[in-house]
Amino acid sequence: MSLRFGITLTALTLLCILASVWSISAGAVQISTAEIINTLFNLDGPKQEYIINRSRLPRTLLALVTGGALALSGAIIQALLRNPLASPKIIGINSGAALAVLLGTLFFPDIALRWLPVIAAIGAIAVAVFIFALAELRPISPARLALVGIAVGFTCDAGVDYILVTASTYEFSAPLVWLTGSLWARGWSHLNAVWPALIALSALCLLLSFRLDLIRLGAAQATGLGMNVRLERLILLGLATLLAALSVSVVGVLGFVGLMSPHIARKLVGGVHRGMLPVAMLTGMLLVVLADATGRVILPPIEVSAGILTAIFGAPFFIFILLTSRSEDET
Amino acid sequence: MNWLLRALGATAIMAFATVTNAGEISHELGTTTVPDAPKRIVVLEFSFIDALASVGVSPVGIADDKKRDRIIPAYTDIIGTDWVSVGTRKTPSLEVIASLKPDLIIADKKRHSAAYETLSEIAPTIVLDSLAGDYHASVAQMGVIGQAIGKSAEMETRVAAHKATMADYIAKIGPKAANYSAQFGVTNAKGLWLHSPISYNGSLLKMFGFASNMKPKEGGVYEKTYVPTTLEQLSEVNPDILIFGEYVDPSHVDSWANEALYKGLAAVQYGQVFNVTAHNWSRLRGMLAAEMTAKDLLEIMSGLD
Repeated sequence: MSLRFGITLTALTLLCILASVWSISAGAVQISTAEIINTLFNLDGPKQEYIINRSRLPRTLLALVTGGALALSGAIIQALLRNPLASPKIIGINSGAALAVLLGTLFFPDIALRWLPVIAAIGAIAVAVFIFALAELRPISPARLALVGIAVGFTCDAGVDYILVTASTYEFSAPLVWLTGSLWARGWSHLNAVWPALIALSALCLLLSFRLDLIRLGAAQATGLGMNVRLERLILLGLATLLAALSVSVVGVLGFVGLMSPHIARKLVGGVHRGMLPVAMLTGMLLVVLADATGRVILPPIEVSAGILTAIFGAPFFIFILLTSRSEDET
Repeated sequence: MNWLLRALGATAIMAFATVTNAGEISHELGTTTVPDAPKRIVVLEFSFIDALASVGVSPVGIADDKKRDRIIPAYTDIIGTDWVSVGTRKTPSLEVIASLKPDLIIADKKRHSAAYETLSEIAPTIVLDSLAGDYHASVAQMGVIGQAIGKSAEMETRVAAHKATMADYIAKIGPKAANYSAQFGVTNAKGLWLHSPISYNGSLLKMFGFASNMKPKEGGVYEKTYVPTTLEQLSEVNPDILIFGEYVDPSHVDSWANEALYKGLAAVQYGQVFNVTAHNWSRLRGMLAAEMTAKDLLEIMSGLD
């Protein structure tokens, strides 16, 4: 909790606000600042009710809550598994969600697409529960748990590939948009379905962040400090799973955010979780808002998926950060 | 009386859309109240342009994949070129659609169901199965669109004329077609997709009297509309006539030219492999599109015994 932390947090918050303002004012349709203000604050004069209030505003807010949730989830999973390569993907969440959605559309081709998020959440949670149950059955080291997660994830990915190869690409176009991670056609109903849970769970994670620092000391030391390490680990993993599963269910597989944000945060404020977690959350929020807004303005009226843009813009920055990191203690 | 009612009911279900009363259009995802004669129409699939052009109505917005030449001259001669591109058919820009202040949106079931609620917030939206529907469904959809845009009578006349035109083609092509199996497929750089008998083109070939060698699963049900196909699988289907629509040149099929398996195909041996415009055959779907397809087929068949 230093000056550096305070400055970083303030700067990131300001950047998030600026990015959100840009996200609301930018898009395929040019709208004057006066019109935007009229619409947002319900003033007299020309307005753009649908585009501002029902399209860009909920999309921006959804990008903020899901970006933050995915980043928090990634940071917690990295801490618990003590693995810098960890992300929601490593406990099979993305793959489980993707497989569930494709199976759902395969067996029930006429299923209404609005049920996809529910199916995705069920798939993600089912896979995570399966991995936790294995870990509980025979307590294993975090490294092995990560390997189990990777193995289960690969199995699900194989299923996804099998379906995509054997089924026609045309007929799966709708799930494919979702699979790349996109905020296209998301509105208030999607936001309302997840924001209360995501904000509550995120707040809980921030409150529990200091427990992560204790766990990071190692199981023996933490137990010595009076912690029930197994239980706390399970609670935190459960929180991380729910955060990622809910996010994936509405915006699809924005996989890279959960891996990247914690590393950026560590570079900015160091590895102490009390400080790192909120910074990681803000980084994730910023990344997804920027990716979604950029996707709307880069080739209008074509929409480029936020998932593609987080990878294109995030990856070079991510590599730069890893190459310029000084020492191991930051990972 | 009972059988008559049942037959009427079945017809209604097959058409999948009937008008309950003026302005109420029932479609794939429910019933939508549309204004009497919509003036600002946005269409999100090409077959819906075919429908509008059939009765001389110009849309204000088209999901043309931001490639304006995807709307062929046969359509632009009628609808003009004043439309605004609303982006890709896969993920059209909702804010551009909203900025056009439409009073009717026509969307596709496979592509846009997820956005139906959002589209409905912008304007009355009807959803039809263009992408996965067959030829007969696409003609049935013409009637629904005619009702939705308040041009039922004109559309009925156009559909009747279309059916007469097609009957003419069937009379010319049918007798020869009965001796052949034929298969249409599209190919890009990555692969070949055969259009099965339940697809738009598959059902058209069937209507002209061609046999299909694509095998249905048990119970006679075809699983997929568009089937990704390897050379080995193609040699299993082995139709007498192969019609390819190439999206790129050279295509994936071109890379097979020197393969023994490809040279052994019946269609290759007899010189019965034909190339048609992939865009017109595969993407457009509709009455004008079907008439162009029929013309191509007549040309193909006039060269055969």
